[in-house]
Amino acid sequence: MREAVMIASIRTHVMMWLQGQYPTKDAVASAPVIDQWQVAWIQMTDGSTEMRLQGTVSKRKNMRDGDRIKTTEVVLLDRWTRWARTSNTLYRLGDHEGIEIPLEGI
Amino acid sequence: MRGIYRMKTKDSSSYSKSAVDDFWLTTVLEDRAECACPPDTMKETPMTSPVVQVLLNENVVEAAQSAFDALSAEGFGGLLNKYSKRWVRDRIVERVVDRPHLAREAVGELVADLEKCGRVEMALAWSLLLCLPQSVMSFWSVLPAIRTMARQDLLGVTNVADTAKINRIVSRMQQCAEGKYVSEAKSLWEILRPIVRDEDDDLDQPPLPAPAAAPARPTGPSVVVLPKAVVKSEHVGYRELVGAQVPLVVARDVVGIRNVLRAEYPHALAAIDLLLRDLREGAPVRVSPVLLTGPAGTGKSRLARRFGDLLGLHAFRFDCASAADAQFGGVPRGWSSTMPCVPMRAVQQGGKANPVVLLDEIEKAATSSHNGSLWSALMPFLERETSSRYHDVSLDASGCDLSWCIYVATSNDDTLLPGPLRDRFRVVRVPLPTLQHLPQLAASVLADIERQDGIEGFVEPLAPDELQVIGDAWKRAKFSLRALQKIVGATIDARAQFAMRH
Repeated sequence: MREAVMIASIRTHVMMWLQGQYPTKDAVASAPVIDQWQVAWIQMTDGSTEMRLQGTVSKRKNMRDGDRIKTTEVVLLDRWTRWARTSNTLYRLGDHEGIEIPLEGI
Repeated sequence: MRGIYRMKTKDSSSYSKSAVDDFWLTTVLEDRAECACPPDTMKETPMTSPVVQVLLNENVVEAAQSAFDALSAEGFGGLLNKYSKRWVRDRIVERVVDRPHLAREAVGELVADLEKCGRVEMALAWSLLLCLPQSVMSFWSVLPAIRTMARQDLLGVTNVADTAKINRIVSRMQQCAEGKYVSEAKSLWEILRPIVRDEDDDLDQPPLPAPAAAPARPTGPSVVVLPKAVVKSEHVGYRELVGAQVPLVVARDVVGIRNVLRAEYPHALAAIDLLLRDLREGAPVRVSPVLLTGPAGTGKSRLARRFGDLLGLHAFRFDCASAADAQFGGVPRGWSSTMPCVPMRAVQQGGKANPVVLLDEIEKAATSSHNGSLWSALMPFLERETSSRYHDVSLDASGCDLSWCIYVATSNDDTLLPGPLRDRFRVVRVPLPTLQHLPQLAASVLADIERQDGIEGFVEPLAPDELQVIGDAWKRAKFSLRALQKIVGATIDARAQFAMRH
């Protein structure tokens, strides 16, 4: 049942995104932050692979700031890597692991 | 609302109906009441997503053509006046093969504007053209969306065979994103071709992970950057580099790139030619270290960035002003924060042996050498003799070939640099523009402002009297490009303020 609700919620978010309704500035600003993040590919037991993010989290409920986390599967990732929506949470993305700044940021 | 129609026409057994779905279905019904199309016809002919139309092609030219057809069919509604069929055909479809960098740049612009006007699905379809198997990062934002849409039946594919095909394509793209095709000089569509043609190929066994003894050799020019290393858990990402042939970016369309840069920097023609002097069409990009020096506001950092951008090099920016130690050369293995040297990290991130390392404001690095200094740490990288046999203190690996990395430094005053360091750079002076460059520069600044504010096509070009006023103000601001941006911005604001409203 919980899984069904999650699938429905993912669907809603994707459909809103497809119509150009991105997460609002406020929603992104108040979302938990992942810093020093990088993409991790996780091999599932059924042979498929899932894209997840790992990094240090802050402002996340039930977690201390600075904890290392690995998220659930990434459902949507902003093209300018400002935010990412995983199957259950919206995250604001901080710096990518390393000091690389996207070209557009220079 | 097309996506929503599609949802209704799908078999809904794959997901459960919840309050959220009911909300959407209500919205669908309301929208249908307003729509002229009777729902039944929609049911019979569910529309295939442009994403699928672009994916199901055998090469990049056909893919670009499909994207063009999809956009033409859907119309240019909501987009700025700038975009017309002709613009898209001339700037993108016609250039995809001959001038790929320029075409990619135009695609980037189009995607950004499509997103701005809420046509996200079309933007997603076009951004497939920006996916390069050689750059894993190019898949990051595209893949999750497509994967989720495929799982949620939002791609408008009805027949079982096509669904299976799309699933195979998505997993193949995933392998690209994991870096399994990084060293193959192929486009995404060349990799997807066997699937599109329904040929048998071993999907679960991508060609690359070859035994360590005989690493697969990419088709283009390549070089072994990291011949041997014992990789610790902190360096997992570097495991694939050990003994592997890392591809080199090849210079394509040097004349086109020169023309683009000359149009953008009419005051720095000599600097541009010096910067591009080492490039040979069709040969791997190898440029001796360059130091762009000149007064503040001449556009040095942007020129360095555009240089890497147009050549399709992976850029790694290093802010020298905040460097007070020798971290550039790596943090030794004994420390918990151990980290390979910056050029090695750039190679690992970009998956290419010749990334460009942008050393911004190099003369502003700390001068104390208490913890080592950036200037000393930089030395071994700038000479081919030493950089081709570098010992990385973090990976504890000898003989690393980092001689292909390209270093472009910027500074306001090169006399502050120690002699031995300055000698290792080719010093290129970027002069301040003068009044004669004003019309061209002002037009380019205006275009930038329009793009930033999303008002392209709505701003009249600058009139001669306005240029006169801008010229006077710019002269007082000592011809800085940053000042010119502000002045042109203020001119446009003033124009809006005093415009006739009726």
